[in-house]
Amino acid sequence: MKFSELHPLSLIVFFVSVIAFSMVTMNPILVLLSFFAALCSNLLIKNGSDIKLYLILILAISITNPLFSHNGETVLFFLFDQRITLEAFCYGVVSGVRLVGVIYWFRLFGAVFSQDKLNWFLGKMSPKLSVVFSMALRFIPLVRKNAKDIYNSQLVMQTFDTSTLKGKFNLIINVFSALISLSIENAIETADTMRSRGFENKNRSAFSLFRFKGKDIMFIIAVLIMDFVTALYLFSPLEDFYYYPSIRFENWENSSLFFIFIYVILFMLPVINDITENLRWKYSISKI
Amino acid sequence: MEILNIKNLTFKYPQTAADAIENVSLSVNEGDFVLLCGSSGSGKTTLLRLLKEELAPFGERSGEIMFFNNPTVALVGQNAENQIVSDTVWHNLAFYLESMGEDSNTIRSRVAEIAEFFDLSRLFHKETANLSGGEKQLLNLASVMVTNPDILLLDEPTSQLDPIAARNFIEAVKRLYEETNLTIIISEHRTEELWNFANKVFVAENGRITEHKNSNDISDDCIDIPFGVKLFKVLNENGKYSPSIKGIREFLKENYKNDITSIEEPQSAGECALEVKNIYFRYEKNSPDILKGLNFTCNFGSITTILGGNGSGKSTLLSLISKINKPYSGKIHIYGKKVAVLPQNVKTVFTRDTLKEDLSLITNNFQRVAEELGINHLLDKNPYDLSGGEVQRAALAKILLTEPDIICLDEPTKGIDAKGKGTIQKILKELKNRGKAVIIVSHDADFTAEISDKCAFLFDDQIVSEGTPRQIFSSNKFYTTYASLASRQQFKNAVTLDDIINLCQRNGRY
Amino acid sequence: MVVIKKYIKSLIAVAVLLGLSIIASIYLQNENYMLISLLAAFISCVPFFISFENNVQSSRETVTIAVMIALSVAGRFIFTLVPHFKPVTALVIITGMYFGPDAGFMTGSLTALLSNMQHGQGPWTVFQMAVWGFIGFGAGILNLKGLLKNRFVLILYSAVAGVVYSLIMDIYTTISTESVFIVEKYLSYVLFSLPVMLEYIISNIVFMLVLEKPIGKKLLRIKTKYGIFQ
Repeated sequence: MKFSELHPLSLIVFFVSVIAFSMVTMNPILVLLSFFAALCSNLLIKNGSDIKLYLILILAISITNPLFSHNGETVLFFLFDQRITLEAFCYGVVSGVRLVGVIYWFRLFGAVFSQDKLNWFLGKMSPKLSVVFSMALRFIPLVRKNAKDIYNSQLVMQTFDTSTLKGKFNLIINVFSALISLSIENAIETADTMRSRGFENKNRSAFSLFRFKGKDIMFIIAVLIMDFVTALYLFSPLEDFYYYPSIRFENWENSSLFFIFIYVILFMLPVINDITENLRWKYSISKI
Repeated sequence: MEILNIKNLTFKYPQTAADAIENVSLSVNEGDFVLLCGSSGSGKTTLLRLLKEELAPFGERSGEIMFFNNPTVALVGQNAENQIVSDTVWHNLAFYLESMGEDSNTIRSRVAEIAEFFDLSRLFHKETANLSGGEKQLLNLASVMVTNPDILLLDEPTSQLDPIAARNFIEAVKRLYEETNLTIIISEHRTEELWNFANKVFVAENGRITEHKNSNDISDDCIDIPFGVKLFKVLNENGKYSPSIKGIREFLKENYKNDITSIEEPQSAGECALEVKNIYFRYEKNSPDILKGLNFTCNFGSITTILGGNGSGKSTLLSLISKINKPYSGKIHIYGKKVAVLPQNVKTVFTRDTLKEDLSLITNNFQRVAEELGINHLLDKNPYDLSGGEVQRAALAKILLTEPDIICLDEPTKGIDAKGKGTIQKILKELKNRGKAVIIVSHDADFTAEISDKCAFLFDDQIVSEGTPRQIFSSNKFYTTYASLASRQQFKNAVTLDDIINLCQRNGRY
Repeated sequence: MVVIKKYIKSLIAVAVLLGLSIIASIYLQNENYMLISLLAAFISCVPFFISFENNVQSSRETVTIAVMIALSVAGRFIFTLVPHFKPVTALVIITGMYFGPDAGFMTGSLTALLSNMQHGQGPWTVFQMAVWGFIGFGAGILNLKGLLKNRFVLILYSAVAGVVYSLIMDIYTTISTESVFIVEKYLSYVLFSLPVMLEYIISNIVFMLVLEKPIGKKLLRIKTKYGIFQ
């Protein structure tokens, strides 16, 4: 079972963990590891990373941070009588990497957590909300098609002079207001159909095609255990890292290695899962 | 055993003068298959909606509707799109069960069973936006069958579908009827396939609905009766032959001579209005060609029909003629001054709140056209408050106000009953007589045969045959008219009811 | 005032939850601004979703809300004439005005969620959900007494909506690049994004001026014809 085929609950547990951990720490080792894991997962699962764009973002944050933050001992130079410090620059780099890491995790979340999974989640919170959500999803292509039809009809009739910008704008406003009538009037029939299928009943349940499998249980337990270990590390002084007044990372002990190892496993779970899955699949195929 | 009894039911919509249903008394037994026929506005839809409590219209109502043994009632209406309640196929099927608060396992097995029965399993995960009209309507049928109904009401379920999808749907309904203990009441314009299958026929006329016993009690106004019944009525045949294709064949063979076997074609030649030369078209750079080396012409003072199934590129061709899209190769010469298009969804023509405002957007001199199309009494209404036939005429009025000399119509008979088709036919013939070029895109063979001067059959991105309707339909074996199928052993090129009657009368009886 | 009272419960719930999260953030000290603010934005939506689940019963109203969401999302594909000019905020305000605070909130917040499904989800989704939700809700509340019928007030509200949207998204930008909320940095972001803010304000006002009348007329007709949002 691929990572993206896990039950939505498993995925939520995973993403909440990694995104929360990525957001709370400024320890450069952990930030870099999270960034690296997110990048790998994106490359493997989402087929792409737009890395250039994000490198520019990191660069921008690294440069702007010293302009606002003047803490730190090591002055590089003065700009408009303001101290530009090495520490603030480093802080900027790390916070840029952290931000892009978080964005990458969200990107992966967006790619893996498809419409039906999002709908499952909303259905758990509020069955009616999930109905609105899936109705709206259904209406979007319909509305776009209707808009195009109305636009074409009006264009052929030449009701509006489209040679000027004002005329074009006028045409679009008219199309849009016609679209409102068309969409809602049609939807009322849909609403009546829903009512005749019992929508206005209380205690609506929310059905989904997702089934909670054995692997999901194992996955969630594994994530929760690693969450616990990682939380221990993050709350202990071992993790503390100081940028100001000077960069210090004094609490390093050998046991830190163990925590970092668990941290890596946790963050690499999507990659580990999909690579072993691929290998197993190739192996099974080779036996045929 | 009686399941439904209606006694002296009368119903009037608010702010209307006439009763929509007048003093109707009917009885339906458990396991009946009832065909309800009659033109639009005759009270069919009103009756069916009154039988389904949640969809019952508001208005003044007297008389009684009695159900026995508490049956569950389900209804499928005519607009397939508007009855889709969610974005995926499986969720539509599950919707009712969710409303009832059923747990996941129950829903899973019920939904699987229904999907299997209606052969929807291969569409199960699809988004409804990617379904065809026929698939959508089948999904609607399946979704109401989840509610375990005892009475199934079908309100013109195939009127928006193409002939093939319509036939599939009717087949599914028949199978459903044969394999379950369902009571079905269906209203339909295409009655040929159901007339013999149904064990009861109700005929609706101006709000009066009565049970039909034999063809004599149907007045000439009711046009929705099957082809065979109509033919037998004109030729004074009663009772001996069944009104099916086979029955008509026997009847003609045993009763009429066939010395004259064909009808002479009138010669007609107008000036060329439009010439499409060797065009190629695709929507996007990397998508396949929709039209490939297509040639097509039409003349002033004639009606040309482009026939073809769904997705054959008919509507695309119209969009090229009206310059919404451009071919990437080939030429389109338009010799007329102006092209107008009546789109498939006619409501897209309107943008304002009253018909009057909408017409005045084009010109203030709309009185004459409005009169001709019989929409004068509707001018102060909102386009969305009009009935199907009315809104179509109103839309036609608006496009005619632009003074086009080439008029294209995209599926003008979709959702229109026989009476409405008659009206359009009259209007289009009038336009033709005024020297306009009329182009119709349609898959309605019977309508095409009656109205066109020329047909072009579009298949697989090009026009494969072209000629008069008599040439095309008499040589087609499957894609042809009911009249042609029923008479081809006897006559060479009779493709409409009038053709058969004409030849029969000229040949005379044995 | 009776009508407004209906909404006080949700507002109090939001206030309490927000207060709690601010206290939590102070207790946890500096480092977790991003996480806390994400949570706060999410939490402030929750009472409205709960009240929607419990209150709205009519299928016609539910479906109409779904249509308004679809129109707002599709709006940006329809108005492609001038780039960056999007009718979303105007539509959300109009929905709130004519269909009430609840419908306004739902339309705003779900529009954010759905349109980001096409443009990429990120931490910003949650902020947009809350902000657009409250813009629609506010329009509904103000119009309970017909305040937005006054054209001047309506224009003012649209402009303010543009300002608030921009200011809050700047908060997001500030804390997303830096754990700590530095006021100078925030102000510089605000300054930096002034042109964008101006664009929001102008496009909101323009769309309001041209859309409110024709759409309002149609929505009123639909309200009376189908007896919804009375």
